[in-house]
Amino acid sequence: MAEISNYKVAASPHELGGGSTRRIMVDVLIALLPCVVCGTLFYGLYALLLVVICTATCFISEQLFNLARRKPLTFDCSALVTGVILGLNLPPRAEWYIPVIGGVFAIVIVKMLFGGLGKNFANPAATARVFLLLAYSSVMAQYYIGADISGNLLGTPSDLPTDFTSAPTYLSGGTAALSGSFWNVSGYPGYVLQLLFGYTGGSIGETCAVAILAGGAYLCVRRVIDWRIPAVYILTAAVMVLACYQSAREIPLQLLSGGLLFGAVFMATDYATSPKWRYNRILYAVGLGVLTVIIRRFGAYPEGTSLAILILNLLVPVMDRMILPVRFGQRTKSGKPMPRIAQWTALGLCGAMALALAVAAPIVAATEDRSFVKTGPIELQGTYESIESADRNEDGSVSFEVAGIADLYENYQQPLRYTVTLDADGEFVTNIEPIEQSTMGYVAELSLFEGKSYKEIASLTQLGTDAELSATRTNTALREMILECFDAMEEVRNG
Amino acid sequence: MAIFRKGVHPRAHKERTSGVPIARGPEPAEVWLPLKQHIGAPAVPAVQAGERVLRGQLVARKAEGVSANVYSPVAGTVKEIVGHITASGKKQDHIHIVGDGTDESVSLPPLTDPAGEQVLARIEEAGIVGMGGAGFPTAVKLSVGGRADVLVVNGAECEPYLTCDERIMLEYADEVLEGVRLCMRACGAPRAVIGIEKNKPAAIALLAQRAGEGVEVKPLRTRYPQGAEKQLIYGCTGRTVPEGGLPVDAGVVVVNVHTAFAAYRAVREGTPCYERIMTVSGGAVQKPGNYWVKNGTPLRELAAFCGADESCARIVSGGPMMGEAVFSLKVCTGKTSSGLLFLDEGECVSREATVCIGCGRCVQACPMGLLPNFIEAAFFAKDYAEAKRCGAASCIGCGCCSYVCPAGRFLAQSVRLAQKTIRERKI
Repeated sequence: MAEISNYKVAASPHELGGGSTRRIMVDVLIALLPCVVCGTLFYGLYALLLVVICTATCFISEQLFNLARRKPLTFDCSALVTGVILGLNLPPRAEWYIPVIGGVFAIVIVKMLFGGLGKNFANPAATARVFLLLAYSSVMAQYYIGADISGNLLGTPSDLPTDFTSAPTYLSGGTAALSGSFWNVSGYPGYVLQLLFGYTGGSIGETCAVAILAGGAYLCVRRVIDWRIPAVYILTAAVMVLACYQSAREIPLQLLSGGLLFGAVFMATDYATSPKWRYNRILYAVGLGVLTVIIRRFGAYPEGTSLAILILNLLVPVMDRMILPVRFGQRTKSGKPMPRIAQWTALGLCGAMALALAVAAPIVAATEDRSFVKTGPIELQGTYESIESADRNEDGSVSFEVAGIADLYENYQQPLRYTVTLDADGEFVTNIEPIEQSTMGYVAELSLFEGKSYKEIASLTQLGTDAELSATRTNTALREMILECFDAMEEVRNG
Repeated sequence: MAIFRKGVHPRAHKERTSGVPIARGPEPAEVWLPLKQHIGAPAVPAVQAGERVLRGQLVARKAEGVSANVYSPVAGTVKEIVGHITASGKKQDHIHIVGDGTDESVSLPPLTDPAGEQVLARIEEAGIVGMGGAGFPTAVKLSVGGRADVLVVNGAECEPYLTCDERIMLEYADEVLEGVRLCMRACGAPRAVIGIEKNKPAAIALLAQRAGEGVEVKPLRTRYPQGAEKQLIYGCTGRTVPEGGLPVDAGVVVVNVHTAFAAYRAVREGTPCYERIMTVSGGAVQKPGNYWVKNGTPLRELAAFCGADESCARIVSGGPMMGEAVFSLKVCTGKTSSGLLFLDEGECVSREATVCIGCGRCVQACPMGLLPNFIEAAFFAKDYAEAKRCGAASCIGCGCCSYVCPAGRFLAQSVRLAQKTIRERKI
């Protein structure tokens, strides 16, 4: 009988590459660290507390589920990754129970009920974020930003009225959501810089593009994530922004704001819910980019990333099944080499998009007349009799809300209220909108003033073409108000 | 330049033995010669118990069809023809020869200027099989009836640890090149390409310098499995072997450098195939090196000769990527035993398999473009049609998928089992 000894026999290969599931998860946690740090700096320790609550909830709910199902406890750190990612997706001043509900939903409903690690049908964090967005829409849309970083660290929800101001994101509020200058860089470059460093309204972890990109670079170098997914996602989104907004200068603003970068690096690359073959991944990332921008541009929500990821996640099993790699030496039935359709499509799409971006973006940028000035209310220093407020519009023009009184008769005074818009250079009246004026026909003749310059309006002598004394008085009052707007515009332009 | 994509890049571990010249190995007092050291039918014993045999004497004749002759590596007496364990754990018939120490030998008549048919006949007579590891009888491989126009010679040696091919190329360069020319003559190919991984620059330079007319040396990227037949053909000629086909379908015949060397010895020196060069390496070996080892040498003799620690973590016959873990040192070497590794604790990792996290690394690594994770899932679900759809039938068993798997799953094993079932049931 042959001697059977105690040698440890195992199946080949006997040499194994490094790496384990836990090591991968720890790598992701390391990559998330810059985002956590930036979130804490920008939004205070309360934001950090939210992330910690979320992480703890995820970990504990996974272990409780394991206990309930009489399964061994899991210490692969994947629940921690889900928890941190979901925590960083929350608004910085959400109530404490929001991360608890989100964490339990992500782990129990999305992950464990479908079989646990590697079996979840969609990214737990993205799904939980969408769930919270629908269930607690008012909470999830409340973004805040402090007046300056130094005072942030200890803010709690009750401090909000004093320390923090409610801030819409760029996506929901346009450039009005951003501050006029950042590190003394004003105008468009200031906006890009501001979004790059992320000191703006948004979820805890998604605003600081620099931190996200640093984490992404670490993950790519460690080969934890496939660089194709974030790269193609961002490329596609850039092309889509160019196409849907017809603006090249919009591209950096769109890419850097909202959850796009964070989603591209940390959520779209989730193993279980992204395709396995590299060209499949490119097609998946293209789908993500297209869907994200379409939701942002034409959808009801300003944010599109987590919805897009959720939808594409559901398509992944189908993609994995339908689009198979061409095997080495595979032939068609007629004996010809199998055409690599998926591969050619993916590479062709990427090439076409890169080419389109390289050609079209500079052309569009050159012809673009959008001046990215600071929009929103302007504080006037001078004292004006009739001007109540001033607002900068997207195109640089300024709308003044003016109020005054016209003496129609001896003892009848008609309150007047108009919105007067002057062009960006303060030379012409571009538009006048009545808000409040006489209901009896003694209305101002707006055509007298619209499109006219200061000089022309000042030298008007015929203010009563309709021979109605009352209307003439309205016109006279409006003229005074408009002339004051020109004065105010002078101040706005000269700072 | 055509390079196969994917694959993996394991640590080479070749530094222990790549500089060690080939030396004589152990002189076993007894040998157990396997009757099946090749792919195909076992050879039929031509001697009987008690018969005296000389070194280089035919002891088992090739069977009908694909098979190969077996020669005695020692002079002595046949004790018995007995069932003996092999590395795979199966019991097979071995010829047990007890040496008498006289080393009396016979040999075949050397041929000076043989024609193609003569070379082919001699290779068949000498019992030469593919010595890279597969063990397909070389004569069968070379009989392609002029359908091949390129002979690809495998000097890639992509398996970690193994250095026997590299040493052969360095120490027997002219013999190898002559062997290559003989093989070209036998299969009728006017051109030969020797593919060598770039981590063996000395061998590349030496062979390129001496190659001569019609023989080209092709440096290949260092990447496992560069030496796998289909990947090697792609790297050397840019041709793709059709799925399920043989290299000759792409007009190519592949032989290993050791096989070419054996062909030279059989034709020019008249020495049949009864010994080979083996790499003995690993952290638990005191005298690692490349040795001439007689077929049928028990591994225990080899272990004792090299000062190996028999209680090491794992003993592997062949390379670490595709070799078999040995469960007993009673197993004997054969014509295809290219290496014997005594791995210490740090060199072989035993991991418990955890759940698949769907990272897709196996898909990225598979040099054949298969989907190992889906094949495994289909295999566990006994859905062999799905496993075949994901490509299980085309597996070359290189083990890249298991190598990269962070969850430590036995993907290669599952895919091979699925492949076996698909073949058996003809799905």
